[in-house]
Formats: sequence, structure tokens, C-alpha cells
Amino acid sequence: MKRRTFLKKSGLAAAGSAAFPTLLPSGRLFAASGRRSSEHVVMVAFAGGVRLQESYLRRYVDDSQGEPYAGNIMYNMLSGEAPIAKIVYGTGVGGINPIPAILPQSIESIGTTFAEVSALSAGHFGGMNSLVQGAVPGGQGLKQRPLQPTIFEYLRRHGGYKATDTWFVGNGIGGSLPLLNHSEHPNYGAEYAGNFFAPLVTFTGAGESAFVDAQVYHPENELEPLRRMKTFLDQQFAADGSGGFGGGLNNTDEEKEQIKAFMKLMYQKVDNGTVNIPPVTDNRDTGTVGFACEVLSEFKPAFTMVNLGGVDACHSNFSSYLSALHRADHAVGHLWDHIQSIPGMAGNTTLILTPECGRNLQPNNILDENDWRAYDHSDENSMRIFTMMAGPTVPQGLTVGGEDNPVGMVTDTMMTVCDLLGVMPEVQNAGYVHPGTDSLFNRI
Amino acid sequence: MSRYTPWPSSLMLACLLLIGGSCTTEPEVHYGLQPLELASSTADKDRVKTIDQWISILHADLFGTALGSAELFDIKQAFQSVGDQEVARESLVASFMQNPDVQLPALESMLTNPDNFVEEAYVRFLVRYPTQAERTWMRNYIQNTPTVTPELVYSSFALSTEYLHY
Repeated sequence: MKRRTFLKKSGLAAAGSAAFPTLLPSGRLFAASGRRSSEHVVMVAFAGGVRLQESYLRRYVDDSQGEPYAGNIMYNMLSGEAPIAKIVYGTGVGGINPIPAILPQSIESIGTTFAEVSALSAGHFGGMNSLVQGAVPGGQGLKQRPLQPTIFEYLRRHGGYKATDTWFVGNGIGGSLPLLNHSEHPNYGAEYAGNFFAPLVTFTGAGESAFVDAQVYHPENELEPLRRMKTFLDQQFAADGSGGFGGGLNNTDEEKEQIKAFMKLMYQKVDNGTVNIPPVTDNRDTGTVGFACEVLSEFKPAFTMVNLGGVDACHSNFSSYLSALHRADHAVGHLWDHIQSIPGMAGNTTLILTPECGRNLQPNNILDENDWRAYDHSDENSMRIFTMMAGPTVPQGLTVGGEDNPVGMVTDTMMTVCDLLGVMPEVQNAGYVHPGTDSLFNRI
Repeated sequence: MSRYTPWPSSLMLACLLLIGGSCTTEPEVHYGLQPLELASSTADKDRVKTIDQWISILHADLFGTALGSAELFDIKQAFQSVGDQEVARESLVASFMQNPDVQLPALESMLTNPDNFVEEAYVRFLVRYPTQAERTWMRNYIQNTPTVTPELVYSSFALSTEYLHY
């Protein structure tokens, strides 16, 4: 019913604009055939293997360590009271001071939550690939680009989005993350890739040493002659067209200059301590989200994917996992709060977040400083995740499915983005997504 | 009884004398580099440099010194953190150009003897001499564009597609 009402409303709006073809930045004459219902979508890969028990089910240490203390430690995303004892996830010595909530209302209360969703992989690599490809990475090597097209390529090829309209902000360069911004698929590829930064490397690590001194050239006096001479040299060279060890992403010259100017600005902001980081920034996820906020402010992308991974500390330290989960929620709260402050994105941005995988039902044998056991991810419980979304066209306060009543798959998140940004028919027709993958709006 | 029969001491002495007597003076050997004829065209450059090769060669061409392995590792990490490798290359070249140790010809040298400047740039970066057409175009462009500097010319060579190949 809600879906039908939404389609009716948005269909009327789309009818007017569809009558006149527009030359899109990609050179396409016609826009995608789907109905775009959101100007911007931010997708969060949350956050490195999250057990349903400590997240959506809000059981804190009650369903993991045999301690009778349940509670919600993700109160920017979820509604419900925090645990009353055994607090280890906050700041200060032993983490006894919970971080105050940023959002006045939880994402759960202003959006739709799919309480239990089925993952297709119990690992990070498979899960991340499911999120970007809408498919499982069968036959894909660890240091290989996706075999099937990614969300970035679908959006750019079928939706006509320019390169700086699609961004992937990663929390590092491990786990083949930098390879996920485009596939090797012959019909898609780098020409339709999303832009990528691993900002903690680009702006505060090795990247700062390598790039910080780069001068931004004057467009007419310096850049123009440089380009002119480069063009002449390239014309003389009978190249194979590969563009070398790493080609461009089809950013226009103007987009490339904007990216370089943005990099320069980030180095200045890092020096001045003015990056828009969350109030508590003491791990990689919170830092990454700070730079993601900067990307959103600068480029106002149609689609941004942000990857968090701090909770994977759970392999060896359950207390650190709880701490990272609390911070991932804090980071998401900051992200959503910041989006509402960006002219052009406030009020017309949809946030969707999904863990790439869950974690095991049973712990391993590693004890942390609180004598709590750690959890890996490999069993059936690792296939239990959740998805949340909020935005102008998302039903508010709605919960779909429940514990042991899974609705939807991890790949639905990618298709939902396609749905929101108007390319779902083309993606479905392309036929590369996992069977049964659908927009979550169709599952409500 | 032993399986081995010891050599008579006189025979061993004879052998030692024979070996000692055969020693001759070590011939004097000199190692060096033969002058290599530079190619005059781009036809043979059909292989793409790896990221390691491009960064290392760029550093050698701009600074005249080899890049340390730790620095190379860091720069590679920086490249991996940026999706658009063209942006990464342009940023690295622009950053190197601000390094006080970069070996750039003086502006006066370029303006007073553009032919020589152009030839040196081709040899340094592209390991070949320019064709007459290339020499003429470059000379004219340098002479007719007041804002061109050695930094911009060298940057264009370092970012050229040919420089990505060998």
C-alpha cells in the first residue's frame, strides 16, 4: 500500500520531466527508465561483522557472556534504553562513560528497519562484494576487481551520473577495498567507476607525505599549457589505450581539478584540526566518517558508500567490539546529522545501512580484560544481519520481519539504492545480480 | 686393509709444484657502460610500467637519485588510497616539483636554447630523441607561450602516456 502510494506520487512528478530528453553528463540522451525518488543516497557498510544479538536485538552482554545485562548501545540508530551495568563501551578509563546521543530521534524511529536480513557470505570480502555488486563474488580472487558490475557502474552507465556523483569512502586500503569501485566486466569497468578515497591514508598517512605539497596550478596560466603539451605528447605516442598501470575513472578535467583542490583543502583542515569529525573520534571509523562528511559537503554526490570496520576487533576482544559498535553508531549519528546541515542534501537524502556479515553464535576461546569471550564469523549466525533506512520516501517507524523471521537479503541494499536513484529496471534487465534480489521497498 | 691407498709423498709434491707453477698474472679487467643508441621513435614501447617502476623512474628522472624502498612503499600506499590514478599521478608529480631537490633547468636556459632544452627533456623522460616535428612543435610552443616553465614542461612529460610505457 505504502509502496503504491509512493509510486503514484513520484510517478506524477517524473512524468513531467520524462517528456523532454536531456543530454546527460555521460553523453546519454535519455535518463534511466526508473523513477528517481531520492536526490542523494548514502549507504553505510556497517561495520565489519556485527552480531544481531548486540545490535538490533539490543542484548548487550546478555546473549554473549552470560551476564544478565541487556540494553541498547546504538542509540543513534536504535530506540531503547542503554544497559544499566557493565558499561565498557564509552570513553575514559575502562570505557565507563557512554558517548551522548547525537540525534534527537533514532534512525529506527524515523525510518524503516528490516529486523533480520539474510547475508550471503559469512566473511568481509564476500559481504562487501554483495553490497557493491548485488551478487556473490563467485570465482573472484582476493586481489581482483569484482567480476560483476558494481553499484557505481550501474549508476553511471544507466543513470548518467558523472564520476564525482558517485563516491566510495573506505576505512583503509586492506581487504581489496580500493578495488571495489569498479569491476572488470567488459560492458562496464573503469569508465563508469566511482571515485574512491581511503581518507585516513590519503589525508593523514602515506598520502599526506606523497601529495601534501602538490601545487594546484592556475587554470589558464599553468594548467592549460601543461595539458596542451601533454595532449601533444600523447598524440605522438601510439599507445594501446590502456592508460598505464592505473587509468582514470573518466573524471572530466574539471572534476579532477575539483578533487585535487579538495585534497589540498583536506591537508589544510588536517593541519588546522578543522575536519568535520564526530565529537568523539578515537578510532578509524569515526575518523573515516569525518572525511566522508567532507566529501558530502564538497561534492554533494548522488551516491556515497561509506565503509566502517572497527567492530571486527571482536575476533580477539569483545570489549573492544562493544566500544567500536558504540562508535560506529556515534559515527552514523554524526553522518546523518551532518547531512541535514548540507544545503541541497538536507531533506532529500536517503540513508541505508547494512552490515556486510554477522558473527558467530558461539564464542572462541580468547578472553579480554573483562574475561569476556571473543567471536569470529563463520557460522549460520553470521548470516543474520539487519538493514535500516531513513529518508524522505521511507516509511517512518516501520519494522519489517523480526528475529528468526528474516525478510530480504544483503544484496537488496544495492538494489534499493538503484531503485532510489532510478536505475533499477536497467540493473534488473542486465541480469548480473543474485537471484531474488529486490528493492527493499518491494518487501515492505 | 684400507680401501684407499695413500698417494706417495713425492707424487703429491709434484702436483703442488705443477699447480703453483701454472699460476699467471690476473688480467686487468675494466667494467663500464657502452654508449647506447637512443631510439628515435616510440614504436618499441609496447609494455606498461608497473606502479613501482613508474614511481621509481620518475623519482630518478626528477631528482637524479634512487628512491628508497620505504618511500616507495609509502607512495604506493598513497596511490592505493586514491581511486583515480590519474589524479594520484598528477598530485605526486606536482608534489615532487615543489621539492627543493628537484633537478629542473633554469627558465633562462629553456628560453635561450629551447632546442637543447627540448632534446634533453625527451632524452631524460622518454629515452629517445624528438623527431623534427616534435622538436619544432615544442620549440614553437615554448617560445609562443609566456607562462610555460621548465616545471610545466617536465610535468607534461612525466604525465604523458608514453612515459607510462617502456
